[in-house]
Parts: sequence; structure tokens; C-alpha cells
Amino acid sequence: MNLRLVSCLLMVLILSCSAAGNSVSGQNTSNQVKTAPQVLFINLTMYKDEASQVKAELINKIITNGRIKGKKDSSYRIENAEYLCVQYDQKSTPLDSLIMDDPFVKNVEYINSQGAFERKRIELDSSQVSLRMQLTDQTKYVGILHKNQIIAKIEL
Amino acid sequence: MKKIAFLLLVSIDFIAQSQVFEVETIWQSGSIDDRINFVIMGDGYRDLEMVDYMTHAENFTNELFNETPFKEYKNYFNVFAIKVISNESGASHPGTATDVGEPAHPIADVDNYFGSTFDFGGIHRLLVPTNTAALNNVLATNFPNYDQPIVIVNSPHYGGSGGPFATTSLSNVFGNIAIHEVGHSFAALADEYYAGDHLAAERINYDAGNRS
Repeated sequence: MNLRLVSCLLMVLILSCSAAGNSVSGQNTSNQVKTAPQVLFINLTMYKDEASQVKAELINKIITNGRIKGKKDSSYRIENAEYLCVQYDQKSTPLDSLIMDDPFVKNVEYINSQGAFERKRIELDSSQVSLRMQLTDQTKYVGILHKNQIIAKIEL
Repeated sequence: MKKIAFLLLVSIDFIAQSQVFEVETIWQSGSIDDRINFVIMGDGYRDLEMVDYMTHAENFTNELFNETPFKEYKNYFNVFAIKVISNESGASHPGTATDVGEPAHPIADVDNYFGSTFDFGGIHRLLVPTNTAALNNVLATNFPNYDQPIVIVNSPHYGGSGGPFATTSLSNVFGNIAIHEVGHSFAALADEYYAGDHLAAERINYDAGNRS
């Protein structure tokens, strides 16, 4: 009888320790995710199809620990941007936005044969687009927007 | 066959995301969290040219900190060099520029890491690392907290470009282009010359009353 009681108590103790261990471990993981800032790197190919519709295809994405310095784009500029990368939560609420350069126009600067800086606008049919954003804790997916329409959805 | 193609794609994706290279500190004045971090990447340097690469990166850093305002604010910056290894030395030169008599120097198709090539957009001196995904992946994997990336291309011929990845060759104005471009990308300064109506905007050093 005593042996059974001790065995039962030991079992309860082991189970409760195990459950407590899981609970603590779970809390730690959750806290780490919230406290360690993460950065999202995205590479895309962007092009226009036969109907001149803008398309974006994911090449790859990398999520890593890190913090990006610098100020964000103003809401006025974001509202008027033609191309945007937007982070959304589970309910598709926008969390953060990054203005993207026009992928079909490259404004390049170089030193000409007279030794002076010069700019030239080069039009492209397609291009690689590389982005970096500070990831928010609530982000579930990222949308690539052209004229306020999502043209590519990237699940995280 | 489809499965093999899928596995190949996965393998390529894995390789593309796993480029870990050695990172050397050239100048460190403080923590990367509270300093401005310049991160140099070389293109067209083979493994056996890494000593040359580090010399070029150090020369660039010295040039940078000899220029105002970097000279006065040196202790606000860190400079690191990622030792990216290319299969072949130098930069491509397709010989397709329309602004010079080609070939301005020998035509070459070089297997370098970031796809750096002269003649971009038909302009001979426009030296551009065309594989921005590779640049982004190398930064993500090796130094995600960068503030300003700089690409040094292992070619003696005159060339460079601006944009998010300030790029320069090893020509005799080595460093000038990159320093100029850092003013755009890091400090949001506008060109102090007329660069076209499409680039006209209110900036710290550029408005309707002051373009010079």
C-alpha cells in the first residue's frame, strides 16, 4: 500500500515537474521571440507579363536576428508610393510598410569621361529586387503592392 | 525528373542562403548597435587574392577617413570587410557600351560572385554588381545589422556606380565614387549638380534656391 502510494506520488511529481518544465520552456521561447529583434531579407524577380501586368516572384527570404537603424518613410510618402512592401498580421491589418523603388527604372550615377558625376535613367524589362525590413512580432505575411494591389504574398 | 529538378532547386536555394564568409574588422570605434556600420564586400577576388582584397579594403577605409566629414566623425563609425570568394578574378566586360569605342579594354566574361560588369545600360564606366539577391543574401547571413554596404570590384579599369550598393573599381579615383554615394544613401544628401527634373526634391542640401 505504501509502495503504491509512493509510486503514485512520484508519478504525480514527475508529471508535474515535466509539465512545469514545459511551461517554463514555453514562456522562455515566447519571451525570446518578443525580445530579440529580427530582420527580414527578401529577394524578388519583378517583370511585366504579355498584358503589361506587373508580376513579382519570390527568389528567397531570410529571417535573422538584427536591428535596423534609421527613420521610417513618412505616411504621406507611403500613401503615394507606387510600389510597397507591407507586413500584415493574421487579420490582414497592415503593420509596417517599406517604399520600394520602381523596379523597371534604374537611376544610375557614374563618373563620365570628363571626370564629373553624371546620372542616367535606364529602363528595364525585369529586375531583381532586394529588400530588408525590421520584422514585427505580429507579422504573418508580407505583401508586395503595386498601386495598392497585392501582386505577391509571402507567407512567413 | 520533376523530383530531381525540385531537389536541385531546393539545393540551389539552400546554397544561396548559406554563404558564410569570414568577416574582418578594419576599424571599430564601438558597439555595432550604436555606431554606423560600413560593410565592405569584394567581388572578383579569388581565395588566393584575399590578402589583396584586405589591402584594398583598408586603403578605401583610409581614404574615407581622410575626407570631411568622416575625418571629424571617425569615432561614430565601424568598418568591416566580408571576405567573399569568387570563382574568377575581375569583372565582366561585354564590350556593349555605346558611349566609347569598344572594346575600351579587353572583353571578358568573368564568373565573379555578384555578377559585377562594366557597360551596364550601354555606359562603359557604369560598373554594377547585377546579382542583388546574392548581395542581400551575403549581408543577411554575415552582417544583417549593416548600415551602408560598399562593393569593391577587383578590376584596375575605371568604373563604379551608386544606389543601395555603392560600387567602385580599383582605378585611380578609388574611393571617390563610394564616398559620394554614401552621401546619398546614408545621409540622404542630394547631388549638388543638376541631375534631371525627375530627381528634383527638397533635401537638406538641395532646394529651389540652392542647387550648388
